[in-house]
Amino acid sequence: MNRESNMDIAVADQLPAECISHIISLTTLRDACISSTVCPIFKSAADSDSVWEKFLPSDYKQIISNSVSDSSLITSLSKKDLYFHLCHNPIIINNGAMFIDTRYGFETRPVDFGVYFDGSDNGEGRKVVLDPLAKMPKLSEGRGNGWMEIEMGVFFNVTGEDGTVVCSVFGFDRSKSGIIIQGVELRPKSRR
Amino acid sequence: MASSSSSSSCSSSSEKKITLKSSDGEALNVEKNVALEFEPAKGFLEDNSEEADDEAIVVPLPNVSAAVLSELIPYVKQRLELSAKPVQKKLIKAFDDQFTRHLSDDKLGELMLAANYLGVNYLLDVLCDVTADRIKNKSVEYVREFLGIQNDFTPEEEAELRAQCPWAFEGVDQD
Repeated sequence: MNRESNMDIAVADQLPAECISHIISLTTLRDACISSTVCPIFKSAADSDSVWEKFLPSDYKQIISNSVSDSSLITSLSKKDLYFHLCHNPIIINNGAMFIDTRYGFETRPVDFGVYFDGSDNGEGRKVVLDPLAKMPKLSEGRGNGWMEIEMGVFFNVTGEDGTVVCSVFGFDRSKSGIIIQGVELRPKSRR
Repeated sequence: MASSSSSSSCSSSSEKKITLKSSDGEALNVEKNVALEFEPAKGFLEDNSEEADDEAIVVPLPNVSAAVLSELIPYVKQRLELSAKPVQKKLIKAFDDQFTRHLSDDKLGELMLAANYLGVNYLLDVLCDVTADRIKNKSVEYVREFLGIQNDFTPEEEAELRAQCPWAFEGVDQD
């Protein structure tokens, strides 16, 4: 973009705060965090409840009331603080955990999963787009509790010797954040 | 919506005209139904309703320049014509897209202030959308420059704010 065409007038000073909040609410959670460091006017607009209410799940009040968590959270915290509180303190509902995720960078850009026997090239990896979940390939399955199981790949130990098996997860193109890996399980292929 | 939606074309002699006076002193003739879309003009016309001859009314709009008004007026006029017909939302969206696509950042800012002052909320919504799109995935410095914002934070305050969510500042667009 041509820098010289930027707005000469101090738009932020003249627009009402609700209008700036509205603009920020149309961006992303990450842009809202960036916006709060732009200037004090943007900070109060970016931190406002009207912005963060958009980022919370639409039924967050019901989720919190139905959980074992203290439902006074809904009223005692600002929506932004509530959001980050929920990120760091998963809510327990129906014996499962509900996470509000802070992931970004996974849309359309795949993650490389790989499994191989160190020192050989018989490993097989795969690229998986983790978000949106609906587009996930068949080699993954939802487990109904917020976790997703993904087949990372297969390897074959040709000589049957001891060695190191490498399991890797890569995403080089852009920065990504928010993935939580619960564990890696190695299973014999025939008994899958 | 529009009370007088007989807006076939501006040539119809029955269409009443109103004069708007811009911040830089220019007089612009517009159809009354277009003028009524601007809140300050609507208020002014209501206050001066005893005036028999609409043609004699001059509505001062001290916060909007002639350049901005002459972009707004055709937009509002066409938008009114579209809304008067049972058209699909898609058509209005396409019209809005066409209007905003080539706006410079500067013009976008001016129009936003004008739409806010004039209370043309459907335009303000569209412009907010465009602004949001233009600041998505951009650095703090970019957003400041884009909106002509002076940073009033001290370096210490800014460092503290950045430390609250360091992950947000990685990998933004480099332009």
